[in-house]
Amino acid sequence: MLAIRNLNKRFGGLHALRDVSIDAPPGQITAVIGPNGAGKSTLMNVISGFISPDGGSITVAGTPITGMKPHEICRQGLARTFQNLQMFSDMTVLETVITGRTRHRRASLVANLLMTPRVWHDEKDAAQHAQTLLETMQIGPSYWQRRAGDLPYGLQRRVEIARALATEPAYMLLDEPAAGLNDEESVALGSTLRELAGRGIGIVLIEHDIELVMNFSRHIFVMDAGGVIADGTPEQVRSKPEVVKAYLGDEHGA
Amino acid sequence: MLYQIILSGLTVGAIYALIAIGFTIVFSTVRIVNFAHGEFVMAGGMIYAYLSAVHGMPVFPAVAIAIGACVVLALLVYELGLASMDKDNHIAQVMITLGVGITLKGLAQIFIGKDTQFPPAFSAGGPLAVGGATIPYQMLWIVGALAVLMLGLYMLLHHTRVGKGMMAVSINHYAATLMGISPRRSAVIAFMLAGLIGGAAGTLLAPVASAHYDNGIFLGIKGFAAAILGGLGSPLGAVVGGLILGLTESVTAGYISSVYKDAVSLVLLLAILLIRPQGLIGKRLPQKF
Amino acid sequence: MTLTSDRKLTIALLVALPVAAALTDNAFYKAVLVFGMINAVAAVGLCLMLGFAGQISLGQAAFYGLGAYGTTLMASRFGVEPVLAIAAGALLSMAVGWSISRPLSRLHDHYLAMATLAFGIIMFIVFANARSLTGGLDPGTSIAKFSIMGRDLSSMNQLFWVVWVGLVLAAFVAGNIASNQIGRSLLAVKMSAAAAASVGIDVVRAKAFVFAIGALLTGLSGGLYAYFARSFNATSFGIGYSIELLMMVVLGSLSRVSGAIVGAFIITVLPVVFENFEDYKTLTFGVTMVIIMKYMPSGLVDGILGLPGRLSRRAKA
Repeated sequence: MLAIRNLNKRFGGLHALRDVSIDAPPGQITAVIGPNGAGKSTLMNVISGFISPDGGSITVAGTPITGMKPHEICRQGLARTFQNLQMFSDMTVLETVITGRTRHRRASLVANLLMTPRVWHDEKDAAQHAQTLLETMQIGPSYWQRRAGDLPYGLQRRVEIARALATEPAYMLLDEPAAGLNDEESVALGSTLRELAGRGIGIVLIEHDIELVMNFSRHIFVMDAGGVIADGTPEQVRSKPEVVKAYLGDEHGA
Repeated sequence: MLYQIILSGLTVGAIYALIAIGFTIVFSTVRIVNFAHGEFVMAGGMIYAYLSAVHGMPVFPAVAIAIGACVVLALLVYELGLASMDKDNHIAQVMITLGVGITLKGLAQIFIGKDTQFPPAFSAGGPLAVGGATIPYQMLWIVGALAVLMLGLYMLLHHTRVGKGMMAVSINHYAATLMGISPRRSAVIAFMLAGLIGGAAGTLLAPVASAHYDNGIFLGIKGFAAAILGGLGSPLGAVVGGLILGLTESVTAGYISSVYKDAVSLVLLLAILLIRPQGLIGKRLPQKF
Repeated sequence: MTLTSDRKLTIALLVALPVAAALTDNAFYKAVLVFGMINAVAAVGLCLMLGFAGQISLGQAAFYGLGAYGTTLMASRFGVEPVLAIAAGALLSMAVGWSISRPLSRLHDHYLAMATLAFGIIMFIVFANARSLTGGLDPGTSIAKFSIMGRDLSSMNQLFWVVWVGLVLAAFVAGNIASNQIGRSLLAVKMSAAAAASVGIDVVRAKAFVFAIGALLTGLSGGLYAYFARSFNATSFGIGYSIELLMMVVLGSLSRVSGAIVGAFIITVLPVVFENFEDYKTLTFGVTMVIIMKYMPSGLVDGILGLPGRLSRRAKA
């Protein structure tokens, strides 16, 4: 379980997160939705350690990760993608995903400097592993040696997910993975996410694409003005008046 | 002794303040640290010295031409080197301004020479006795110029359209663009101002400290230290930073060691960068990630 | 996994050097080759810092000086075996590089450049004035001839091989880094520190590592220089040398070990090929740096060969 309890964060006068509590079980897609400025991105950045919370706790499978640095949190089995792509633009697609394996590399620094046979072997393994993940994310071999930054937007999003998967996470935070995708791509992404959840990964999905959220997530948390205002299954959430008012109303009105 | 140290510290500090203002103006409008800035100061002193020594030009025409030349140089630096630069490639920005600075140094070396130059002071007459201390007349020019330039800058930024536009660009680049203020025009003016004030600092400094083609980077880093001390982006902070730095050096030279006075001010620069990069009087910036 | 093109080119260069040395009997040309290799060792160090990790350093001359003085002190004061003295000098430089990297790791680009520039100048002032240790500007310092186990190896021919071994070691280690996960971690830190951290890379540690290895190689270069020059003073370790190193990397390649070696030789050879080059050196360097960084930001050789560069535009935050 990824358990978030009573998270609070203030930026000056702005109460960006107020008593946010969210549970994301393994093997399921849990969505967090809400209008712009609801605090979703702040939540992401707090969970993944880029912003430290003022109060509250986060545990991954019982291990508290509050206050850890981003790289330490990754090593606890929590990976993420970014709303504004954070690509390793000048690497090839394959290298990008191999880089995601960094935390699983066991060879010592000296072995790496001397490039012992073991390191050669590890390199080969990492490349193979990355290729498998790229296939999972439906990125064909013709793209593998391309410069990551040159890929179309939708593919870059998928490369980011593949890179996050390479860390072998127990939980993944996906920050608007469908942004900029067309309907078809969005549905394909949904099925892929469902498949990943089927492998036991707990997925936290922050998304504006309401179709994707309603069709693919098991449980939805609705945020507004820094707090969770409702949660439940897609059907339950859809029928709550405060949700329609805060989120759907805003979305359709905008 | 202490009196003398404070007086000379403040006058040296006034020079650092003038250099720091150039860093500050450029940083607030273009968001770059201009590694060539010290070379404007060097060029001001060298051109002034060249005109008065080789061509026997009287002081004020020579100073005016030197400062004018620095304004033109600054304009060229911006237009040729920086205008079309990639805003996100910070490493290239550093290298380009550094390269421009090295170019200016190379030009001074070839066209004016490698010798140390001693141009005349702005006005004749021996040193002035103030209380128990003596100060050269030139120091009065320096302090006076700082006061006049600060006043002029204040008027420009707060009471003219151009100046207000620059302030707007420095506060919010994007919003200013939407309001029809051209960031490029603001950048051009910022560079010309930096050239003007830097060049003036060079001509003012040269009679008391000599001019040499190789001095630019030292003057630049001192000016940057002053600017960062006062919080990069604020002209008033630059003045405060300059004076603090001047005093620190002068006290170090007087009581500890004149050899290590430069080292002390650079250690101060490092300490500020590492501990309080927003400067002594600046506001804390949000952390970048 | 096969060898990268960078590796192949590096090996070709390393093989070509002894061939070039064998083709000439002229002691001066041989000295130029040796000095070029010494510079190449330092350039490879800066290439890792700047080209791979995006850590700009305008103070590399300080590490060069630490290596040279460290080596000289060990050899002259403590009578340490020359090879060990060079190792000690390089390790001293590495220790200093590592310890300044932690505080510096918080600074980005412009501020980092200014901070390393300040560090370089401070160290120069120390080199020039701590005369009891360094001999300052005048009279400077000198070191005994290079030898191994008491066997004199100080002729230019013998020194060539000593320095060659140093360059081979540097290129081997740097080439390994370039082609394994360490190099990718460094590139990741340069291209997006946030994404690097998100896949478990300790950004601060990666920066500390690259400062340490950059300082180690530049310090090694300084130690070799001490035995090459035999007698030197603090002027060898001023800002000028930091800029020259930067020029070597910019001219060659910001992402290829082989490019850094080529760049080092170009800068070393220019004053030999062109008479009066010293007079125009500053101007030439300045103009060249501006033009390359504007039009070929991955380095001149890379730019001309049309190789894809690694000096990335930062992913927009």
